[in-house]
Amino acid sequence: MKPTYVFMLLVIWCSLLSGCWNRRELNELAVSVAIGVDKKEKGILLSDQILNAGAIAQLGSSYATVNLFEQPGLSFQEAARRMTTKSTKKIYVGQLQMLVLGESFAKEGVAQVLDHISRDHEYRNDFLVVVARKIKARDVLKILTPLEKAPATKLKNSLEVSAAVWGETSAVEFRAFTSNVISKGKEAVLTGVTVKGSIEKGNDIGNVGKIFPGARLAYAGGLAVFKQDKLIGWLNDKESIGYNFTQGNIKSTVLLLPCPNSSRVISVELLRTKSKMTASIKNDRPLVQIVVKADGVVTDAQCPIDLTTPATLSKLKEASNAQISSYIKATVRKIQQHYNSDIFGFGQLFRRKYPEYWKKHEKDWYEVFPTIEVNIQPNVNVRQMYKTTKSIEERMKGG
Amino acid sequence: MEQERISAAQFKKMVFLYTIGTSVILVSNMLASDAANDAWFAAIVGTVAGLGLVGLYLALVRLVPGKTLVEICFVLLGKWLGLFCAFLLFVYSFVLTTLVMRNLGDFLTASLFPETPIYAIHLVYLLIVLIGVRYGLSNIARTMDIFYPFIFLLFILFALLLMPDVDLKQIQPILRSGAKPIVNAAYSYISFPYLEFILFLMIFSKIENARDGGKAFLNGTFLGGFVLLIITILCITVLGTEMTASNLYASYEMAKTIKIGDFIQRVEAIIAAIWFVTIFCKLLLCFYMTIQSFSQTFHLGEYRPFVFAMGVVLFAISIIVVPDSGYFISFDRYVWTVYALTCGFVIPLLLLVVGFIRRKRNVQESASGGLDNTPDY
Repeated sequence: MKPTYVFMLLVIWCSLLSGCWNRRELNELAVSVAIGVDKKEKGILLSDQILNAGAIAQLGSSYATVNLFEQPGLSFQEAARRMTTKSTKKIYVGQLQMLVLGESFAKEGVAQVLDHISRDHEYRNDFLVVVARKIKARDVLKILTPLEKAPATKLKNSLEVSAAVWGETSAVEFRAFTSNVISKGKEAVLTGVTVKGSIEKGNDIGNVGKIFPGARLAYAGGLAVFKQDKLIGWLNDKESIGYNFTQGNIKSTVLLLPCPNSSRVISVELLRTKSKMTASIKNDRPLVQIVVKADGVVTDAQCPIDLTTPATLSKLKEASNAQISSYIKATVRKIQQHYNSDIFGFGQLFRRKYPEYWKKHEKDWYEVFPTIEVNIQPNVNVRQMYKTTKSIEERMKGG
Repeated sequence: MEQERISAAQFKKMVFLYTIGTSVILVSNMLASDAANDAWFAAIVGTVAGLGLVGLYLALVRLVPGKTLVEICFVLLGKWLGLFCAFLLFVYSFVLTTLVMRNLGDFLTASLFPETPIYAIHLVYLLIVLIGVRYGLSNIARTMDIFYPFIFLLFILFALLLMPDVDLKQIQPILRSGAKPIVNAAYSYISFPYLEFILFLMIFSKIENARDGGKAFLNGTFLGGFVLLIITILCITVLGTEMTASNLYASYEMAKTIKIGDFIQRVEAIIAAIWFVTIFCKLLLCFYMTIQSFSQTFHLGEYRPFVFAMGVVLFAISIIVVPDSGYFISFDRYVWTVYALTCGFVIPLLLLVVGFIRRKRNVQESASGGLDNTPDY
């Protein structure tokens, strides 16, 4: 009696100890680090950048560190599953770092991709989303890059760094992107990525063997403007910086100010940049005030200038303010008059502060939006010049 | 019947764990889909109403002290009407238990184990619950003693880790959506979990000191409501209203956003552990109350022989009760609240009214009937 009982218990335990129902061992996974989506006649073309674990582990391996699999399909899920006919393993997306949307695909609307990714359990929502500008997403994922073993990591890191210290790009996480696409009162933007050099040269392990690779991934050409889930146009580099100023996305950046009486420039590095937007209604007219605060440091003076006098610094301060103001103005003008898509989130400001007003105008917001008066108040405090006082030019003159 | 006693402090922990079990995953989505960014206020309204309900239940036990819910039905309504009423409450507790089970299964299959059949999850979970219920109430209470501090610490840790992602602006405009959405949201929130508390009267009589028990009941409800309020506020400020309202398991989605530096990230499984434990506690209590109301309704004395049989029935029904999740969502929204309101509000109110009338009559006739016990605490 008793041994049978024990035996039965052991059998039951064994079945419980075998682990998860749908466990997947590491060696059965094809880890996808970047996914690209392009338009294909009827449906989409899905490209998956898969880590080649063997080549990553082995220094100086002659295999590429990542491989690209492509699959056309009518839906995202179908293409992803059909891809297993090409990959030897089932693709695992829990480590996804980048989602690259092809420009022509984004122009027709990205909602179907957003829906699948936010519905499926395996995706996390902290990867970054970018648009491949003028090229296909698959071409972006084909380029091998130096410094980082996985090109997706390079894409992610350089986007995060440049968004923080230069300001022309914007590191948009999937979560924020989806939320902006869904929500009323704020539209989405994404950074554009492109390939410099020859795409074909990048598709080879030899690309990373060179000091100056034949094909290079770069974020260039500013931000893509979305209206709901459709890409409707681009901002140029200055307008992109202007946009990021309004959003407080820039931690630090560099302003180039013209020298007095010469074509050269003085660089002012902005530190501790902060911005604030406030909505108000004056005489029934909507008004948004944008305040940008920053500390400036002179980092590069190419003209004869004496930085030891307070008058010079206050001139630089005025010039910096004027420049920030002109960046933001250009962005606002382009967006209001050309694209008419509320990427600044003005609607959200009004919804939060004047719910009744928002309720009244929610439906015809895009008739109100272009008429919003925007008041820009930059406030840069140029305080420092780092280690030297007068510029080299000034000292050469013996002043 | 065996004499199992629990202390008031243990009862408080039970109420707390019961309140946040399952609700902690579902409540923020439920509130935000009605009240949008005013969900937090609906949470406050709901908790206050919940405290009011607890007051009602306490009035009921004060009227007929030392009895369980089913016994109160018999005492107040007599043999046949009492049986009918007790049976209704038993069915309610049974349906509730299957739905709690199903909540758990749906959550796990939708977010963690998509390819695992739901019955496998139910089976494993139910086995532990059956064992737990067989051990009896005082052991259940001791289990809660062990879990309680961990849940509290993990919750505090969870809230702290989310602090960097909080954007308070998301909560504006404050209270501008009007009364209707807030009332709607609070209405569903009351049914889940507060109206379920009527079942706590099944174990209330086991508390050593009834006066402290009343306080513990209110304390536990308040604490649980507070935790749910914080979770709701976090969901709105971290995920935003749209994402909270469109994500069924919003607080799990929120846990995925935790990222501090490059090393504290992907911790959502640890957070899911909180829910495993609290749902376990809720299911354990639900099942215990169901089996108790079953054995008492039909005067079966000892409940233990029926635990396994009831588990089998529960297991089967938890699979077939919900054909698909669309059904579940609309059921929760349109049917469940009314049902819970009947069992959690109308019936106890009725019992209370009957009780008062009978007591008055007893006092007038100064007869020593079956209802002479005046509240003496």
